[in-house]
Amino acid sequence: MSTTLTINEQTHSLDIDPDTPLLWALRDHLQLTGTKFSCGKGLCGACTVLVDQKPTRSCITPVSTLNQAQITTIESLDPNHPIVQAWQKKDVPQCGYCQSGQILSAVSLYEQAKTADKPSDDAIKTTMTNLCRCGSYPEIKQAIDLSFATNPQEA
Amino acid sequence: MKALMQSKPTPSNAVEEIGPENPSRRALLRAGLIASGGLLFGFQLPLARKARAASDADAQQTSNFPVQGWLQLTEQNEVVLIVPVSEMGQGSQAALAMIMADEMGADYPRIQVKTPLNDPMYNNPMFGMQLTGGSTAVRAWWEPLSKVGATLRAMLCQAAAEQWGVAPQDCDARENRVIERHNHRQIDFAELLPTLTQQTAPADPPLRHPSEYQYIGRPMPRVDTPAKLNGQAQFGIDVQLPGLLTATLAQAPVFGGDIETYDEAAAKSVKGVKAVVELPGAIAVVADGYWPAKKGLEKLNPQFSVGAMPELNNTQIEARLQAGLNKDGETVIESSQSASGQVSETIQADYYAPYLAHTPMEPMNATAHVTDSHCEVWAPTQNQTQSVQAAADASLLQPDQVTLHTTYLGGGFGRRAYVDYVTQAVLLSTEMQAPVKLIWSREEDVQHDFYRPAALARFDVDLDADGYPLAWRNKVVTDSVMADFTGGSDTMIDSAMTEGLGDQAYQIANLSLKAVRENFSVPIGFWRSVGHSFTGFFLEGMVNELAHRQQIDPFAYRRQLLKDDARMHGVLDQLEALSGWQKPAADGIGRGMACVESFGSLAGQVVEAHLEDKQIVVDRVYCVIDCGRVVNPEIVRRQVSSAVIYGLTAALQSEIHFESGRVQESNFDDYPMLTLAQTPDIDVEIVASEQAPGGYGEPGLPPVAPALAGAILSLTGQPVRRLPIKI
Repeated sequence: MSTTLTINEQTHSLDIDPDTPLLWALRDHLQLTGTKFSCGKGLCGACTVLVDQKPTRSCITPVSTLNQAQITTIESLDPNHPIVQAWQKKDVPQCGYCQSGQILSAVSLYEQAKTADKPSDDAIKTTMTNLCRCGSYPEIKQAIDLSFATNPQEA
Repeated sequence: MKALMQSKPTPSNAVEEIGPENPSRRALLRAGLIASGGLLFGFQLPLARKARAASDADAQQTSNFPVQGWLQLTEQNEVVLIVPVSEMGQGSQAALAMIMADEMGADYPRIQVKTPLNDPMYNNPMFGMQLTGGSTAVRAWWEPLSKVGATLRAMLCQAAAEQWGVAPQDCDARENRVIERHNHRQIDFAELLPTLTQQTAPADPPLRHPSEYQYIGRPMPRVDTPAKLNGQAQFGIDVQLPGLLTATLAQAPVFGGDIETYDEAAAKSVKGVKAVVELPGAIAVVADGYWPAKKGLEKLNPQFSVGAMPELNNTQIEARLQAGLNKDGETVIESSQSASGQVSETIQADYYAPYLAHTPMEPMNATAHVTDSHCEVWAPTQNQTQSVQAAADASLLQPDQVTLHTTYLGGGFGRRAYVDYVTQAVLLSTEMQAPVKLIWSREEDVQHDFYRPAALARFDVDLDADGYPLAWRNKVVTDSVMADFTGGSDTMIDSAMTEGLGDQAYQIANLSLKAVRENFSVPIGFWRSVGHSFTGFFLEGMVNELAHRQQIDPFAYRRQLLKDDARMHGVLDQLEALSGWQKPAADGIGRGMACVESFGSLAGQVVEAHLEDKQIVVDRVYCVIDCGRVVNPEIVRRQVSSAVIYGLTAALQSEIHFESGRVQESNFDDYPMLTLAQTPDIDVEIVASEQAPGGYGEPGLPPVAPALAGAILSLTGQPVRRLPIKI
């Protein structure tokens, strides 16, 4: 049975079970290992990718639901994206394992806010639900703030 | 470099040795040409057992290892540093690279860092093992790496001085080149490679004066950040090999149990499943990916025998700990001095801390490829020495037939000092005669950890009329992590059971400390800050309680108890100023404080918290750390902040429960982590110090629970004697 996925603007045809979570299609079949496995139940966000721009827990998203979807993983993110730049400036990662998911969640927040106001602290808190066991949360918050501070639309 | 290689073809055993006159110098430093160009330097450090340096080709012939060393200078004028620690988020790669860059004159922003293979030359000088832990990276390696760097700098300066016809003292190395001070001539390291091997290594080259540091003491960016922003950083779980199979497993839910029955045919009916393999106390499904392996495991329906303690539950654990208080135990300290004053009252209090899991974000995993004569392992491990031994034991090969690649670690916190997953991966590869990557589920991680042991402490304190202790009797009942780690006896008492309680900074005339061992057959281990993770809560909780009882300010109470401990007084002074302690707390805000010395450093914290619908909300944590000389202040701040969040997670919401011998928690829904939304503002200040470097990955943890408990005490008037804290 073949499943078609559009990942980072490339179309892939994979012969995998339709119930295979996107996470394992990425990691085991496409060698896109920047997306991480941690809880397997959509609880921690380490596996977050963007599906049609929305942060999505790939560990609980079967590939059968993604036929028409545009999937973005950490590997295709523009290194000049203000979120990535802010993450570098703030030197956010510690162990780094959760950071692909953190960054993509923050990218989604940033892209949505482009056409609206800078998100409030409360909005950041409710959006950024990805877990980090190293506790890089203060730096994640600072990096998000910095990305908006350096956003030309905000300047 | 090419010219040199042509003029001096490398014989099979040839290593260009430097410093031929003096045998001890020759042992100190060896440099070898490498086929890929440039020079590789190996050094005999005073505390490492052997050095290794050879050409690439030579190494292939004589050893299983690719060539190793301490650093490489390339023809492209790059410096590649081999950093002898596992990078698990603590920033040690960056800190050690900064030390080396400063001492040798390398350009830190351009430095490349590699993690070495297993080799005793990388043994941590504080442990005699290749092991990352105990907040030792900077403490253990600052001096040895500085000596390596200073030796290289001296040789680079000699080579340049020779070329220029000047004195070596007139030269210095900076940013990958040698500079002549007077005439401002410069030459790249790469251009010195041809003559560098002919230089004599100085026996005792002077280290740089701190005023010459370019990087040490500054918040330089981490070397590992770029790869952690684009998905390229390779963790253990990311290892890819041709023909790699993936396995996942189920382990006996009661510790010590073994596999009894399973439905192999059902598991194999899943497309992609290759095999079902029995392991000690576990069963694995091997497949061509994680998903089919997991589906196969679900169909396998494994049934296990019940292990050593099939009845174990928390009520039983606490009852046995409580009963332990009535045992004599082993005396750790018994000091008896004449103390003036009448006993006014005696206070008794029992403090309890539960079992805890580590839950690093990267689940346990390892990859192994075993052949008849070789075992190659890729693992995110803190413990290379025991990984190699485990791999050798499991593959029936010798340790020198094992090659271990250490990847990035997706968190360690002590869990990855244990190597159970290495043994399992090697057994699976041996059985499959193919490379196998073993990945545990999160549920296996939570239910098969080496847990922070539960501990119970009793204090009996005789107070004088002013509320200060005249006599202090303290007994701790817990299990021994060192006995578990070293295979010690069932009755062994180790220092981690009571660390911080006997060697505390408080001066009490009559101090009695006893330890009682209770062994529950639950695997236990090093959990960030080890014994201090509970003893800090016990001792500082008790001190806060006594101060509160007497209505004495907790800073003032401690200053009285500390007597003349200048460093801790300094921490308290700075903490009091940072937290604005002298100003009254805002309405509804409780404040508490604590200070703990651990891992060679002193840490003090003030926590501000309030109650919202009977829930604790932590608003702010002020931290002061005195960890001696600092390499990278930003990394220190991050580690203290990280430890505060790790400790708050535990203090607020972590507890492992047992029922019928089984761990009840299984994932982040029932063993939740602190979130960004729950994270308080955290301020960290570092005490300016010229003292010897202390650790900083763990010392930020012990004060946070007792400081939070103090804040709750100030709000409710009730002492908090149990973790996690419940209102």
